[in-house]
Amino acid sequence: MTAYIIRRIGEGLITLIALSFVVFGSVHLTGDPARFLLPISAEHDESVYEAQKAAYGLDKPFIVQYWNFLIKAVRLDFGNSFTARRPVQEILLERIPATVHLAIAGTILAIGIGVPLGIISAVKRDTILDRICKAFAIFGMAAPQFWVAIMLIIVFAGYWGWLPGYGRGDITGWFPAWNQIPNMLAHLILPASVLALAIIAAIMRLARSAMLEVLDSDYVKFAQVKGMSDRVVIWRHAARNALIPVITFGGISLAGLLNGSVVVEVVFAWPGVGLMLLEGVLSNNFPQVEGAIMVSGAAYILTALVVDILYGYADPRVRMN
Amino acid sequence: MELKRFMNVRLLATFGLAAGMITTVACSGASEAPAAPAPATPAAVTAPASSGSDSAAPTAMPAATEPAAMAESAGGHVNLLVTNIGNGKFDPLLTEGEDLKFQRIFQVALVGGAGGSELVPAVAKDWSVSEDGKIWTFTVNDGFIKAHDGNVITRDDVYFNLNSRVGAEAFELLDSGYYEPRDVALANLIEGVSKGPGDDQVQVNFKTVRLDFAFNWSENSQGASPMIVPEATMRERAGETGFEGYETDPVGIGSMKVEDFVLEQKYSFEKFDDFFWTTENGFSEDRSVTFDTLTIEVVPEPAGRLAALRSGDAQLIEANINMIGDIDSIDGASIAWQKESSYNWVVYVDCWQEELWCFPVEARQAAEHAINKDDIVNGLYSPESVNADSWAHVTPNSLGWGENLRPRAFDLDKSYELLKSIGYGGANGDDGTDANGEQISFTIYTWEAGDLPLLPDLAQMYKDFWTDGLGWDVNVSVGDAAATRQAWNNREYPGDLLVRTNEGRYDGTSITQGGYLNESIAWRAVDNWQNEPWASNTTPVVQKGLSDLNPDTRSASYNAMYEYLQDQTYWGDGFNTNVPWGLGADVASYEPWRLVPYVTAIWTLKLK
Repeated sequence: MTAYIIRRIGEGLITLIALSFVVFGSVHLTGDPARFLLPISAEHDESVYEAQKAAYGLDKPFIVQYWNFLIKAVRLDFGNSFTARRPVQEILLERIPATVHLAIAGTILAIGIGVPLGIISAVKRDTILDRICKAFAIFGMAAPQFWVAIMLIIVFAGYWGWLPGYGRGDITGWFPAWNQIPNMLAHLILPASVLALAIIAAIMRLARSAMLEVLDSDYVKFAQVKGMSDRVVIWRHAARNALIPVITFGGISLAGLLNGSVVVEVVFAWPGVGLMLLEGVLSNNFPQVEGAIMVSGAAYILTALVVDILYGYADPRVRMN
Repeated sequence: MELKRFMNVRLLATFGLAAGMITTVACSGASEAPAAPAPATPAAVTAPASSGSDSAAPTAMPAATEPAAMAESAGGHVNLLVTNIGNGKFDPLLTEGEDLKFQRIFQVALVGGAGGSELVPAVAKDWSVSEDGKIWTFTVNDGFIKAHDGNVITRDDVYFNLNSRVGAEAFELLDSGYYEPRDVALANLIEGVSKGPGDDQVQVNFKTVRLDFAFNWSENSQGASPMIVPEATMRERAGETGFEGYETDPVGIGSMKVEDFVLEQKYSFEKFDDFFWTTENGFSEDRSVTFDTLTIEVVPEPAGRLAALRSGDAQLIEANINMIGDIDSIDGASIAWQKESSYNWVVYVDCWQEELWCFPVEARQAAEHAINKDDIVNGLYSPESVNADSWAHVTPNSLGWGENLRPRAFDLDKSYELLKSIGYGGANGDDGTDANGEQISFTIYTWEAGDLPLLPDLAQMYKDFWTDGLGWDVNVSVGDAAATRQAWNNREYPGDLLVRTNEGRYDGTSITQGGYLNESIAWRAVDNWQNEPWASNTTPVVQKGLSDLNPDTRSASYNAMYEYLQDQTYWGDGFNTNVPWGLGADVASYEPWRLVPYVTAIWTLKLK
């Protein structure tokens, strides 16, 4: 098992280094921020331009810039944002809680709704309820996030005024005060629902097919023949076994959501890493883009690593292979 | 059977629980919404700001909100939702972004503005430029302008603001690492800042002629660098390299003070009771706000801003012409038009190069005559949102505009005649070839712009006019704004066209200077002007136009210069746009200034 863990950690590090190179290289293809950020009165004033390039360290060879970036990135130092003029690390620390809150809410919502629906769909196989659930799953996967988000905003925030359609309320950081929790939850519902929708659909289908397989197994039939109640059969025996792949998928989904959903964060003005990334891209803000992607990528790799290791513990065949 | 019954009970319980939770949270969320303004005694209605420049007759404009008949009240809260808020810095020189909206809520510039064009006293009560156009003298309203922290503005404070942003101290702050090289670009052009000659005066001495400095250090300019902060306030907030402490404890002299903020996202303000801009202090109007508090928050998605307006959560939202129908559909909501706030800038790129199809002026003029502007205004846009009455940045209320600058008439015969005169277009001027018989082919570069929607569609219409009317082979390329601008700067589009937006402006000195005189600016229209047939005219005409210091003749000089430049057609005839602001049902009126694209004249916003 130890060898397996070491191998997986090594793979994770290699992936991270490859990601850093791709990110660093690709943002440098998007243009010259030193030129872009010059005031109009100094556009192509070469002395100001050269000084600005030097100030950003962009006057050095690409490979030197990359090495400097890599060395600093190890310490989570991504330099100063070109626009906000403060450390990207500081901005990330402000934005990560928002993204994590949203990701967790989305995952809880997805599992909380997807699993029961999947089980209901399996238990009520080929009934109208099953068909409704399947239709919902197809809709959830097919509907574009931005469209769903806008519809929810128009209906729930605009016409009905039940829920806020933008922002995070007055919440900053990780832990809101007790009296802020209702406000925080109110702001979370719509964006988390949109994030959850596609995952609900996937989880539902996964839970349904796993449940169907389990319900058809001999031990479930045996339990029923023994006269056990349906409740015990479904929840104690069938669901427990059926939900293993669902939980794994939920973990990977959480890792995906931790990357920050640019679409959902932009539409809901949710001040997370996704919105930060977009702001960085729009302003040729290299450090901000690099910081956002590296942290998101690292979060994904780390979560996937943890899931893999846990899976290795749970299923010896994985680590043997 | 038992299983089915069990599942039904579970199903109902699950959904019931979920519905209950959502309702509970929704109700508690609703209770967090800002309360409706309480009825209060109607405040005295302040006269609207001066209409500004009278240099030109305004064009027909859409009716703005009618405030007169509506009851207004003092107090209350304004929630303002905007598309972006810049980089979130408070230091006036370091703040940057397209709109700098929050700066204008709690700061006041050295020179005041009125209606986006006229300059009026503010911190400076008077200003003048020397005969050689190099030395600006500002006389300060010394001793009664209070900052939010109790400090009082004096001549020394104004000196500090100028000296630390464009004077000697700016270079010290550059050396310390507080400023970046781009921050001192203007300071590079200045000889020095000094106190005097009078006890209440400050002088700025430029190395070369600089006629728009008062305008650029006024509320009408786009940047925040002219905002005045007491020296003591800034010094108290000194950090390792500069004034870092100011970012966590910002203080201004404006009508509202900063109460709270989440950087780059949300800023809350409270009315400042000692605001100086009142009739009691000798100003022609009272610019105090009539509401108590204001929150400005970034909501990039239009649907989010509209929903907030519809639900009563927002009182004022930044809109665009695509949102007009939605705003109209909201009970009690209305629109305030910010007139001439942006313009459509059509650039015939690098056409001073002899080998390009657009080198002969007649080719560019022919292109202009082939565009049916009425079709664009009435078909693509609407007359209330877009006006086809300007050339480049020169819109009806800007300096130097005149009837002679209206766009050229749609006249294909004129286009053919012009093309034939230079050997283009074959026998009839319409076969799309140049003088060598080769197909004229170029690309229109553009991007999606928030302030002027449908730019790609506009470019497509240009393409259709030129393809169908003149037989030219035209492509449209829609890209990223920053990348396209950069490629233009890098001279990657010779012989192509750029169709873009730009902020409206009263004084077009800097853009004209940059485009036609400044050899260090890459996007200038005439790079190697000696090569163009009109070389003996262009530079002297621009130099003459821009050097007129006499306020009585300046507009006429600019007009003559612009008329010449329009005829040259390195920049095409364009449109200017009126940008709508959505007002909530509880807003009685708001009168944003024209010729600027950002939040202005917030004191004119009155709640019902």
